[in-house]
Amino acid sequence: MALLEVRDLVVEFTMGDGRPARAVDGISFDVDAGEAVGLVGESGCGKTTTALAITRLLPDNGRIASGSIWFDGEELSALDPDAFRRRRWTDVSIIFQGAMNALNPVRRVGDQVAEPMRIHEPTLTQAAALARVADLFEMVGISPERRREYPHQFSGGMRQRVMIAMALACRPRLVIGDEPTTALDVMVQAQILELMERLRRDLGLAIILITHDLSVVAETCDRAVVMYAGQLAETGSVSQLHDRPLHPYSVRLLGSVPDIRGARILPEGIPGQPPSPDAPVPGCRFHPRCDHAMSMCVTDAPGERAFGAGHRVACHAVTDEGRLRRPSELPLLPSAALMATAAATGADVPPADTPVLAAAADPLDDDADRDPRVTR
Amino acid sequence: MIELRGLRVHFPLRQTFSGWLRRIPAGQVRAVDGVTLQLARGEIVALVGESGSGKTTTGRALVRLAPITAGQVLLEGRDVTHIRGRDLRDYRRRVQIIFQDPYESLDPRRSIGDQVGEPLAVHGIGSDTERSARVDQALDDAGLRPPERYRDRFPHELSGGQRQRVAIACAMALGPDVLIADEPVSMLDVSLRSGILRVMLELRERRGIGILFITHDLSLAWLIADRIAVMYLGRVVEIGPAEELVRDPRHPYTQALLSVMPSPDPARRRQRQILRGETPDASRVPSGCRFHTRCPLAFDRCAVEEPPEVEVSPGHVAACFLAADAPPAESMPIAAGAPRSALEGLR
Repeated sequence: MALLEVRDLVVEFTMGDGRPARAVDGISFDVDAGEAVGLVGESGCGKTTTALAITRLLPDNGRIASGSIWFDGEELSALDPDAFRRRRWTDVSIIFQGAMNALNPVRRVGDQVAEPMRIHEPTLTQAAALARVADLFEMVGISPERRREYPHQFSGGMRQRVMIAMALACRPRLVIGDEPTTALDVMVQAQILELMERLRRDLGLAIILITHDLSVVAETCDRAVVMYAGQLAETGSVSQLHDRPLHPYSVRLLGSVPDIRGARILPEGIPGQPPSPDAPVPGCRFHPRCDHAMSMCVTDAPGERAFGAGHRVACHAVTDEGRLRRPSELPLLPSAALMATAAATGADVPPADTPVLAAAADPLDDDADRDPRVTR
Repeated sequence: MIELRGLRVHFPLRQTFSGWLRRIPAGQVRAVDGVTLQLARGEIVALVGESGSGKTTTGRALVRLAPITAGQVLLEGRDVTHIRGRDLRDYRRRVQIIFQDPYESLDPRRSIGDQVGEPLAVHGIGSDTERSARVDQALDDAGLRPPERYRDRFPHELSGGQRQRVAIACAMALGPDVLIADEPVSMLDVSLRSGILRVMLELRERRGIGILFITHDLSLAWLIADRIAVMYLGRVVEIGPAEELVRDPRHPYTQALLSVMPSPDPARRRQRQILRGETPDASRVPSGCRFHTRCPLAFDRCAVEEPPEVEVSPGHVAACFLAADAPPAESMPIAAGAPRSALEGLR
């Protein structure tokens, strides 16, 4: 049995005009004890919403509409809010992207790290809590004397270490990192990823790493879940996904990461951008941007199929033997044919983000490149 | 075309009370501390470094947005370090800058066409019809095609990638010779970055402009630049042709930076050479080689003596005592001589 099981999770937001918008639409995945799983996709694909649903930190206009979340055999999503609050931090904790904003600027960092302990272990004495903070700081590579300092006295990387210390304060078994290194310099990113890897090994932690950068996942995770528009596109081990990606979205995502150890070719990128959750695309949600799209992709949503150990994919263009057909083998839609020719000939592809003007259609937030639900 | 000679930008620190009592002079932040760099017409040079390396300040000093403490900026051999007024305005017409954040660099209340046309109005260039033609041309150059679809839109109607294209169009409206691009893609999703990089390559191709591409991401620098300059704590520690610098880095800092670049291939997980600690404060630059406090190869001499600039091959210079020796084999994880077909077509 997996440590965390997410089953057919659907998260809905009520928009300003009362309409519902599905940010996560029927996603299922598992995380085993001690395993590192990457949750990958572009901004606005529902990665952060999934994490917020697991930790029940969804904003007021969001709710789990259906599906379930199981932790160690117990249904987390069925717990009442009070019962759940006792489990957050002790079972599952979360590290946010902007360590700048997640820390209280007018409280000493040591006190902030101690706070979850005080709440979850009321019997803990002040001295014991402080001693544990000192140990935690040492573990994440901050000198324990610095616990009396304030967040502004820390650099971005050091603040992220404070966040990690706080996430570990109540001995959780699963830590979710939501783009924990995105705002950091490469060297600091490497330091933080190395720290998370070491903690995983030493403490047997399971980790969910949310990122849009597949190379970060390839470096640190065992498996990856590729999300698109709130749904699962593909999941498998990182080597399966790298060596034999089946979903055209995974292929494209991989193709947009430059590899300084590989060929010096300008990555292709992905034309367009993910659809807004309140204007869902019929059929396969990726079809308007897909160079493998056929007429059935417009009408029928592809079901998930499994190929080999833990490799699942939802795409019509994949054969029953688990091979992604070439565009030339498929009765392509005109738009897909155009993209496929452009890719094959190296011709001028239409600018990657030209066709969609979805931002205007999204009443939640005018910021289409960020996950619109997170800011609320 | 444009040249920096020993550029220094130092910001004075406020005198502390105890320092004042003890008659200790106020310190200064040596943000840029002796940078020499040339950018030729039609060349793309990448300035790579982490936060605090001085790369952004260097870019800002180039357009005279940061106070130059010492050194010179030359445009086509003419000293522009201290020009003012009309001369400065003419200079800025030829040297334009775009910033990292496409959300903050545009005015939310004004249409795209209006904003792209503003520099033309400010400089009093052309009649209304000429201006509007130049705006369309700039939008087209930035990949916003067809221009009439974007002219009357407002920033909130555009995605981040499109906004960054608008920022490029604003810079291109004046027909500059040099474009300074400060982290132009780091706020964008990886799937959108290529589009912006492609626009820059096209600008170089079609307009022959020189681009100073400022980034913290060595792999982006390697993708689009002809030459790469790696900065650490206000200095260029290594400079060379992009391909060669990545294949055969000679400065330990460049070597470490390269070793931590994530690779999408899980089979290539390798020994990362992670530097401890953080870049020191630019108000307390270490003595000798400024990298010696974090350098895995540092020895006694590095702490006292500034290392020479060693030319390891034509145009490839590293400021390190050990630069003349080829690095040990295990620190060279880079595949040699990779093809560059996709880029070749654009050049």
